[in-house]
Amino acid sequence: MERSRVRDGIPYGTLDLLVLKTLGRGGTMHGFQIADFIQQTTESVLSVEEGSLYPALQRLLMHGWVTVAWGRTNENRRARYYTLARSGNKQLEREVAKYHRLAHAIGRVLQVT
Amino acid sequence: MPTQNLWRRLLALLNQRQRDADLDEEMRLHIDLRAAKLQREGLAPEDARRLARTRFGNTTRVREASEDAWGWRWLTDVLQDLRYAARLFAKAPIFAAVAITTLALGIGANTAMFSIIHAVLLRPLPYQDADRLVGVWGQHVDRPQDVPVFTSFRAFQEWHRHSRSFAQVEGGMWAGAGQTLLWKGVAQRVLPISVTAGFFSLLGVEAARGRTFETSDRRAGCTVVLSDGFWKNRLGGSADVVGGSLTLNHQACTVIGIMPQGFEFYPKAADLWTLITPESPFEREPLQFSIGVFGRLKPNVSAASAQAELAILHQQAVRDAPRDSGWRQIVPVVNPLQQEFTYLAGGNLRTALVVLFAAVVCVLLIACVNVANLQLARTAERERELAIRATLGSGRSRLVRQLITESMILAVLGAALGTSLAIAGVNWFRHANPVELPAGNAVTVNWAVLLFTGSLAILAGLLSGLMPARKASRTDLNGVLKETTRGGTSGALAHRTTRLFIIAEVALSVTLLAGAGLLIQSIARLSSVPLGFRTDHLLTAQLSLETSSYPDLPSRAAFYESLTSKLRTLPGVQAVGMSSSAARNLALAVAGRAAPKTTLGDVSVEDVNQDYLAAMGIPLLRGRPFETTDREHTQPVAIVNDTLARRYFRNEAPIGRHIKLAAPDGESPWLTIVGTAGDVKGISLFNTMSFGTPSPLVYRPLTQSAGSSVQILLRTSDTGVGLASALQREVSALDGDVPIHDVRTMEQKISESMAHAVSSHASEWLCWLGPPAGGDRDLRNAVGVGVASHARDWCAHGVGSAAT
Repeated sequence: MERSRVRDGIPYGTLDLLVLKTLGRGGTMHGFQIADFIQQTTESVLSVEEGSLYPALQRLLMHGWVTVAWGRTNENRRARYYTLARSGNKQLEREVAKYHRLAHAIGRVLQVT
Repeated sequence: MPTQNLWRRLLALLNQRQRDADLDEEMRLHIDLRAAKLQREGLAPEDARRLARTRFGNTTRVREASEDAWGWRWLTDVLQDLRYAARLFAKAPIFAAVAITTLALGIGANTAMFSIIHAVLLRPLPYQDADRLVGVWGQHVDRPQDVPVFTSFRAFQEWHRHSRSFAQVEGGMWAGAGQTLLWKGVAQRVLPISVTAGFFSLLGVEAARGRTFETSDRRAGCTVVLSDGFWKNRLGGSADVVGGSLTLNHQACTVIGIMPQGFEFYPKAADLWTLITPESPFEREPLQFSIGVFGRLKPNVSAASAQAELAILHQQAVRDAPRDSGWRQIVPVVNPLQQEFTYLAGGNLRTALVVLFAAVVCVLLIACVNVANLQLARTAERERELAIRATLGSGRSRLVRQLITESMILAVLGAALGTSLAIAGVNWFRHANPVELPAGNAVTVNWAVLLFTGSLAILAGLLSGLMPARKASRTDLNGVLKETTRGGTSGALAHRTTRLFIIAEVALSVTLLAGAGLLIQSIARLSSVPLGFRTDHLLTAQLSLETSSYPDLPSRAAFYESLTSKLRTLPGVQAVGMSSSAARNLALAVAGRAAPKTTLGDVSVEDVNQDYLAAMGIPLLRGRPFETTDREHTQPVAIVNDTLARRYFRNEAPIGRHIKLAAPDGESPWLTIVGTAGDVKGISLFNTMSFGTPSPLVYRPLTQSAGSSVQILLRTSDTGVGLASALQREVSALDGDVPIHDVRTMEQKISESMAHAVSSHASEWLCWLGPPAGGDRDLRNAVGVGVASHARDWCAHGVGSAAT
């Protein structure tokens, strides 16, 4: 029951896609930037416990889809900056395609009168 | 999961500490940045900080979920649980020690017991195609409940030549036990086994040195194969023994091989194996001699169909036997060799092992319940701590796992300690040999046993941990945390659990106590059974004469008489008795009545000297004892026991009546009954918990009929232990080549056979625990006469044949 609240408001498994897409715009970002970007872009429609971003990042690291390196923030604090790896790019394409298939299918069902 | 991932995962596992620190820093930064941003949007610093934390969520859970991502969560959890448990036990060492010791005793007992069961009942015998090896015995056609007997050598020959069910049929004979071996001028008593040429190839066992028997050896005079133990311990273990010669019963025999260490067949005490040749008495008079028959079934032939074939062949074999021959009453039975071995080692052994195993399982269950109770008491004390952990984000399953881990640690440590105990126990068992175990596999704590112990440890850990864990997981957090006192509530559930535990414990303990009580009662009852003679102040010894040096009755009788008169002069000796068991299972003819139809009957014969009854303290009920006037050529006389008098003469007076012991040739003399004596219960307990009921017995004077081996009985004024060396001296003075052995007091002898019976005793437990399971074999065991003891006596004489 605890767990479902974490994912509340965000379809299961889409967090990975959102992170990949965010990083897929090019450049490197640290955790807070990624979280902030997603929230701003979605105008906070996708409310998410911000902490749940970090297990997702670990998962992407484990698969080798993103890489991480230490860097400095504007305030000159140490931060871990994430970059999309080449395999991550492919994974992003796959995830996007999968998402479109799914959205299309769900849309078809919803159009049935 | 691709290998690359595996690499990254392993790296992550190694860098775990670093990774945790990184994650913590990331989370700190995230919350700081969020708070700063919120502050910029106009929130007060404290509010911004609080909101930032709320939006971030539970950091503990984020940390755990990140572990999850790498798939190592379980491992770090386990390690954490272990560390936590270790700290707890260090803080409560007495609790840990008590729990570990309790489990160690339970697991140790089970491990030791299982190593015996594994060796005796589960592991196949260490022979080739052990699952197809069988033993063939004879069973009385009308009385299948009687103990099985050896079959005739004649029957063996028929089966050996004509059976189609068997790949191989061989024979071995251990009765008539004991011959004298002359080695480097010293006479020693040995136990040779006569076997047929293919005996060792049947088992598929090669000699360690030299070779085993071959068919060509049948024409090569006397050849022997030695056991490893005999070669090492009695012949000094020198390599030149093979090919050398030794003197067995005054016959020169060539040693052709030595068996490997650890090779065992029944009986385990076998010193050497001799080959049955065309000159052997077996082959010259095949109907007069009996033999144990063993065979390897052809693949896909059942024991039952083999038995049917052997039965038909057996009828062919006894065609030439006299009309009244006991062999005609016998049918063959075929049983798996392992079962036979177990049965030979003790009629009740299989049941006893199973029941003892059940008992140690009970002990382990009690141990588990005890440890569970201890844990439960501690859980009650720890409720607060557990509740705090739960509020800090540890899931319920995580807490349950923590508690199970704790009991697992206890169980594993208990198992380690228990295994050491079991190894020590098994070593002791092998050296002390308190119970005769079947030939074949040695009892060891091997891998299979350790696997069993490992499973036991897991089971014990679960058993003792589950209830406390379940209870802890149901703890009402609020209730506990609100309480001000430490270790407060236990709640109705805890009370109920404790009650259940106590009930289980009492039930298990009562089961064990009742079993133990029955056992003690049986022992007490046995100890108080009057045996019909005075067991105290009686020293016994066995003595055997060479048939070549003492070939006939006069020479043996003369030896016995002069030994008796010498022993009588020893200080402290009040009377000197001698007895020689001559035959069993004979039919009895009474003059003036119809002759018995068969030579197989219920009468045993013992040849005794004049003072035997006096030395034993057996009362003479009527008539006279044997006297010096009863000589070889005077009227053959007999004293019968009370049972025989009642059974054969009811209301008539037995004194003065003439009886004849059945012999296949019908040539045994008519004996005149001169007295009746009190009944004696056999001290051989036959592996059951009762002394044999007296059977009809005929005593003959040693001057009129003397076997080549006797039991000497010295009635002494003190304990008699000091007389052992004097006894040996007197015998050697008469004839240096005559060895005596088994010098013991009668009380020692009785307590040994009682110990043997007690250790393999089970039937009464079984009755208490439930109806006996299994087929007729078990029932027969419950009735209880062991082939082993029976066979040793029985075979010495063959079915219905006169004393050898």
